[in-house]
Amino acid sequence: MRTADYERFARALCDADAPLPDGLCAPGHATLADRFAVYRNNVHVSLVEALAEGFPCVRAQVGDEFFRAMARMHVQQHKPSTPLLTHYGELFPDFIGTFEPASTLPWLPDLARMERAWAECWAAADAAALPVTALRTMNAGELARCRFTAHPAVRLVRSQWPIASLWEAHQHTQPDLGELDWLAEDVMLTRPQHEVLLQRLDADAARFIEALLQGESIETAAGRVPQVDAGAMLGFMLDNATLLEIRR
Amino acid sequence: MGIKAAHYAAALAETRRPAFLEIHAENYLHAGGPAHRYLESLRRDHALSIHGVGLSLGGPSAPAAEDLAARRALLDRYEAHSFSEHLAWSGLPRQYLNDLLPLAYTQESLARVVRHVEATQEALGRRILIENPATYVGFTDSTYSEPDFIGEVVRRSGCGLLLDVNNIVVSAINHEFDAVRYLHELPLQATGEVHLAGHALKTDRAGRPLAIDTHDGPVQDSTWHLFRIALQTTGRVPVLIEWDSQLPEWPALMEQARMAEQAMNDGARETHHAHG
Repeated sequence: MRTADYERFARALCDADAPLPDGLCAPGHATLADRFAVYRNNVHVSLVEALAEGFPCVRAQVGDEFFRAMARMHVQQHKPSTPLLTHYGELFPDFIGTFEPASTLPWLPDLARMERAWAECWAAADAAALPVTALRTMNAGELARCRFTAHPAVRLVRSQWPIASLWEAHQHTQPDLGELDWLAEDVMLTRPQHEVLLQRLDADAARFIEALLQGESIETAAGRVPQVDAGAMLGFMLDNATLLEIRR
Repeated sequence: MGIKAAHYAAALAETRRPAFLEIHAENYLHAGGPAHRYLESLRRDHALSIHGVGLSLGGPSAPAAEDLAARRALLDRYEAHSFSEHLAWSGLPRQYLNDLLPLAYTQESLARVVRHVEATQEALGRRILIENPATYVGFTDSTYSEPDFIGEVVRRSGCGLLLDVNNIVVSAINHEFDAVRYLHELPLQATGEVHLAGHALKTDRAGRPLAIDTHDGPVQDSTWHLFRIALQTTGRVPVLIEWDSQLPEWPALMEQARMAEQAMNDGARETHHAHG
């Protein structure tokens, strides 16, 4: 088997219309297509399953049959680049945005982005978060100029849709979407006690936190969103394992 | 026992200890978080083996140095006692197809697989085990039988055999060969571990039986039978029950482990009688 043979085999697996690779055999040639189909099926079904596991809330929103049809189209277009399937699905939220049958659920791409962020938070490196005591010795001037690096597990997802409420509704076996207000919601994901914690933020808090996570000073972040209580927000961030270190 | 996230709690509470737990390397190659935390607590009470599904040792190119380094780091972090991989390929560079794909057994592919196994053993700093595959098609170009090919890989690279008994049963149905004869042609003396699993039985359009390696149910009688025959040569070995989808409750898994233990005890008794 030369590289070209592997490539032909792979192409025939990915494209159901491609001819079977030359040189295959099975007892009774009539059955060769059925046997090759086992591999084709394994590739597609297992990757659809990987997406189903990674996007449980999107799946609950659209139903299993719709989800699998949508995921199968994505799998046909994008194969994983590595065997770490935890990372597979990076492009799925954008794909959902272009998937015409899903256009009646315009919040679906953001919901998928949040589930992707959830998986990233879950898989991120362990690291001791900046302790609450870290800022105690600073004077007001030092504190104002203070900048931070983000904890590797923190993710912020901002949306014009109620993604946190949708997520919470789907944690129950019988979600009641009729109760939703359909207001914009931002979400922060962190791992303060080892497990992933999802918290709803108001838009001002999200803007302040986003500025700090991007490395801006407390002073600059507070200047952007003067209506927030910077001290209280900083306390909230320290309590929730959002920050890693003070940037010197 | 193959350990899945759904069984973490039951496994942690289990008092009858399975001899070892096995994980898929690729499920733990991410940096941190809850899965590693659970594995750390399980590791405190259980021996651990690591089974790779994505190194693609039968593929066109050698495993990348950074992929080998990541597996080495995982083995070191959890002090795993064993690492195994498949005689298969699973995609092309930057295109992972998430399946164990078959290869032609030729001089050329033999030399390549041996190089890949040697590079892996070198990078991991240990002898690895290679698993015999379940396949659905063969190749007209093949000049080695599968057991002969595996025998040569074992002989030239010094690796061991992960004897997957269910894979033999599945391939024997699909390629209409004699499972017992195949078993005896394998380098059984190099067996470092055994896998047992269930398969699904279908028929294709020509009405011929088609077995599919599904790992979604209990081990079939035909596989238990072949396992008992294998034990006559291998003696007592670490045995893993692979049940990967349509997961049962934990006690059903423990029952499969008990049956494997029973087969080994019976085997030891028979050997004892035969010798004395």
